[in-house]
Amino acid sequence: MKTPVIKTENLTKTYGGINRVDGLNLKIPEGKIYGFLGANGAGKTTTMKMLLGLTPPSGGRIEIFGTPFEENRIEILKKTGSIIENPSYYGHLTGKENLKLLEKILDVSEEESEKVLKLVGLYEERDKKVKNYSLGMKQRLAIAMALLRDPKLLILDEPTNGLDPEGIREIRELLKSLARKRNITVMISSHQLSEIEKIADIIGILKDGKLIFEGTLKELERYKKLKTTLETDDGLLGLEVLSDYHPKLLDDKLVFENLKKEEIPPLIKKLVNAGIGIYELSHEQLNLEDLYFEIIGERDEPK
Amino acid sequence: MNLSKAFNLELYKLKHKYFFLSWLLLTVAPLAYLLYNLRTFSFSPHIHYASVELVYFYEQSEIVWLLALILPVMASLLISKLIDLENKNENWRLLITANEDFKTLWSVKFLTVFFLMELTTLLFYLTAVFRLHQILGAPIPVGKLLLSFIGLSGANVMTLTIAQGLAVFYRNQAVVLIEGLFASFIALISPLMPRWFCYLLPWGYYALNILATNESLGRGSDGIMNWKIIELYPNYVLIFGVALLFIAANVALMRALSKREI
Ligand SMILES: Nc1ncnc2c1ncn2[C@@H]1O[C@H](COP(=O)(O)OP(=O)(O)O)[C@@H](O)[C@H]1O
Ligand SMILES: [Mg+2]
Repeated sequence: MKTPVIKTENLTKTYGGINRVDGLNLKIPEGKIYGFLGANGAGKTTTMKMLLGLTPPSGGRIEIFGTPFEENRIEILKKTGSIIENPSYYGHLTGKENLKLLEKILDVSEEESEKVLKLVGLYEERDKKVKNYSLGMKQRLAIAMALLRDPKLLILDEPTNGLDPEGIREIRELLKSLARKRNITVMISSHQLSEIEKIADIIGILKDGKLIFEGTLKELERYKKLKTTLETDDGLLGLEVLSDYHPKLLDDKLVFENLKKEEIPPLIKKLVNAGIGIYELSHEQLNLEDLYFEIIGERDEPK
Repeated sequence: MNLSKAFNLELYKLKHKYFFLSWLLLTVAPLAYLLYNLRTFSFSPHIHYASVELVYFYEQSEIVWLLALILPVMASLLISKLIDLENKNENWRLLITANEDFKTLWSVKFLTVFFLMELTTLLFYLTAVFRLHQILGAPIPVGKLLLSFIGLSGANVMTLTIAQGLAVFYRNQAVVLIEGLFASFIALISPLMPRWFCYLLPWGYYALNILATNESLGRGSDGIMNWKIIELYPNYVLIFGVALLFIAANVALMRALSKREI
């Protein structure tokens, strides 16, 4: 088995006495796209900052390309492109000038700049000042800048945040082809499963700083549940009468998990016997998105 | 990352930023004022110089007033432009993850602004000294003037260190710009204040380098006030000592800020 490109052991970050990243053990294999999911405030950005040396960990170890980060920081960063939170750029310079600056810093040739500008589809717009770029163009410029050093690893923190579906799709296709053609390992974070499920080979789900799931989408699907919802005229009484089935009361509706079809008729009988009126019953399989929101304990308004 | 490459990068980033133009405007306008004053220079019968050296020294005190007004504002304005380049859009992240070193960036930005402040100071000194030399024909008291110039450089180090720390620490550049105005105000009034005031506030150190002052001799028979110019002896041990402390503080500040989360 190959050594993972990113490996953390017990990675922890404490702010004001609270572990915002808590004992993280990540393993990101080479050439894969790793979707790093979690609600806002889960600790995704903080984790990525630590992986890039932008903030020191409070505890734990980081290995990238099989070597300890602290000791090989310079070599590691030479092969790592990144975007954290929002694209960084010099607004008063043109796209081309922004890349020129980075060329000088990284000691790469002008041809490389042209190549990445074409790759992200900004070549025609290269002489416009970046402050006049749209958000999508700024994101793509940031990706071009991340690619300029011919990276082996990309760490992208919500690179599609704020983009329209078309922009999201463009960036998704770009990342997919990069991972495939150049064998680049990509770690990409998002708070929306839908933005990532189409490209990620592996996903990790972060909640309150802890990794609560790591695996393929297929593996995640195994946690899909059946959900039965019953609307009655007396939810509280229903809760009592049906306590054997361990229901939850949500929005005055009784919710059951993994109830078998055969169990439903006797359940209804019990309700009727107790004099409870039934308005509506639904019995459905949670989709992945619902499952995800259930795992992270938050329902985002859908995009 | 070597320094000359870092300077180059800094210059490249300053394209379209009116950085040098700001410096030029801040320097040329007061310099023109100085030249105009010197052009109409004439000896008043009511001002008494015990030696020709004192004419140079008294003019030096005029320059220091002007410089005290300009340099703190210049320090804040220029360092703010350089730091804000990186504060905006979190460009520190871009640079640090491209293996640029915060300490190098800090040093290059400091040195760029410090150099321009020194250039302004030097231009004032040269303009005044050569113009007076033209008028007086007397030898220039190089040693004492040079010492006071170095003393002013010490004040420049102090002013710029404070401005740079604020510009990096407070993202909102209004903080450092307001500090610059406040600092200029302090520097401007400090020649009128008691000595302890000048010693306590870093911007008071401009006034501590003044080489001459005037003393009233009372009204003459014509009813006009007469003045005597007397030499002042700056306490250079103290000035250089405090400047050295500020250099140490600058390095400490740089180290501390390099570890901050970005
Ligand atoms: N510099 C900081 N100081 C204090 N708390 C912070 C800091 N950075 C992040 N946090 C806190 O850490 C938690 C995780 O933040 P973050 O990593 O930005 O989450 P995410 O990127 O997943 O939205 C949040 O509760 C946030 O408020
Ligand atoms: Mg975040």
